Amino acid sequence: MSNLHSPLSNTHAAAPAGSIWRRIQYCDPRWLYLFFAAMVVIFEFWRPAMPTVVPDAVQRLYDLIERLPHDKLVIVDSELAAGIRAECEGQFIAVVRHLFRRNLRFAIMTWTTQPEGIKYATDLSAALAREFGKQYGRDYVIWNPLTPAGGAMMQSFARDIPGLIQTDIAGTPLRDIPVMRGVQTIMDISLVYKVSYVWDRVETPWIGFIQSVYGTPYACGTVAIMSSSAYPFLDSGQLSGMLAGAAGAAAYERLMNAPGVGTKTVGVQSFAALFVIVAIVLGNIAMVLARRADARTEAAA
Amino acid sequence: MKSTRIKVLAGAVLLVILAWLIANEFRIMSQGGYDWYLRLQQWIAAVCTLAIYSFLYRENAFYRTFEHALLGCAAGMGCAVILRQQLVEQWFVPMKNAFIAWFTSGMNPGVLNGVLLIIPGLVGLMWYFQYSKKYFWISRITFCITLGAGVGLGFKDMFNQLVPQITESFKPLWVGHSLMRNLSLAQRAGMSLENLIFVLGTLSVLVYFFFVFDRRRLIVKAPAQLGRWYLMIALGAFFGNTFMTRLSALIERIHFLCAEWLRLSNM
Repeated sequence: MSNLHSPLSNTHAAAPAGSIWRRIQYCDPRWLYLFFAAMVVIFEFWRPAMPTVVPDAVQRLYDLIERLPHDKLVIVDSELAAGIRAECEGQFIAVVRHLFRRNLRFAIMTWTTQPEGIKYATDLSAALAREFGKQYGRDYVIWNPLTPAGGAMMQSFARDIPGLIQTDIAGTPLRDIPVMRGVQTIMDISLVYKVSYVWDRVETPWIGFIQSVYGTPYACGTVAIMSSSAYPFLDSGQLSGMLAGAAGAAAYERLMNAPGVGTKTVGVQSFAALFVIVAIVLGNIAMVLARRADARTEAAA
Repeated sequence: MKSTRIKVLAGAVLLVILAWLIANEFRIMSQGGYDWYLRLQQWIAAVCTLAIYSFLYRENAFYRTFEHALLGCAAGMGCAVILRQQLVEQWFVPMKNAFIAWFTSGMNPGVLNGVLLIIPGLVGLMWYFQYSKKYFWISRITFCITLGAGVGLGFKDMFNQLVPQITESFKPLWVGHSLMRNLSLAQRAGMSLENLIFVLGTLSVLVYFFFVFDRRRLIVKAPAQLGRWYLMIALGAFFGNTFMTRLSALIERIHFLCAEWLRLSNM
């Protein structure tokens, strides 16, 4: 393998023969990829159970949903996509499961820019509805997908929800759907929960134009990359809770006592992260020792 | 000679894998409830996944083919969404229905809303005067409207987002008994330490971005260096989180390949 050219592994071409540390430093990265993939495959067949810690942001969302009134509607804004299924599917399932368990009525909001997200949200909510014996239209609804149009659209949405959304995903007018009875403006909404991977679409529409203006509680489930951007909003109270990555989903599943996708993922993730930490430490030790050897050789010469 | 041997060996390995995949497919069929359409979808998804991951070995035509196919799909889907779900469904159809209603049953506020949709359409069409040297100025009207609306909404958005964060950054450096009556001294000391770290971080990072002052003075240099450390730690956190997200994606793909495609592990 080492004599094959790869744009990702150009270091091995100059790999000098020498000590084990030098070999580690110039190791072909493809061996690391292979080892890493093999480890994930092994964990696919043997799922390690890891202890899950519940962060404050997750606990806050759970407590909030526990306190929500039954006379208002919850909005689950879903931007699920194939690329974020690994982290956000568990977050979506955990919260929708909680809403069903508490008999809270809710509407799922989808976007035309995420066509696969519409399918995921439809399939997942239908499966959970079957599990809890819930009925579409009476207990929950999936709105007709919207095309993102920024703040102007959100201002219009806040004042007249049925006027902007108009129909559900099957084309039925919202006014004819039982779960939408009494829902007219954003004041009839008790919580907005958004699952997304683009931070701009998490903060701008809902925080900038809804939460800050009307005070509607707002929480999000997002990929781990984006979670760092969310913490200032949690600290200021603009976000009422957050599920960050697979760990967030696993923590919520623990609170719900219903292990699922998040719990499965987080065990493998922990071991894989440990492997990377070991590789980084080993690489750095190799670098330091190789430099020392070079210095000794130069001094001797 | 050596490369020929490698090619023959690689071909033999591929044949073995293919034979095993066919045998595995028959095994899945024998379990009953075989859904041809679903299996076709899973096969396409699996081949796409393997093609994209093949880049980790080296740049190859298999990878490039699927990369281009993915880009083509994304571009095509973007056009379709704009044409069908924005121009047709949200603009043309409501406007057409409103005009029909106007001519058949007269004007009312609902019909007027639909008829007025012609105005944003005309304003949007004015963008195309950019292609004319003589009438280029007309496109500037659209530009001004878009810019004005964008700035107004953007300012509102920024103001609403940032003001609560600024007010929240005013934290007490000592959380006294009067502020938190239910907490013990140790807990209040912990909170005070958190607040101190937060306030130091906010101030030092702000100083780091004050480029107008002379950086050689200690009063600016020391906090700026501290701010740099804070930024480095924050970027490290970003990197760590990025890794975790990519790792989750890999775990999900391996799960798809093993559980959904090959049906070897539990769903």
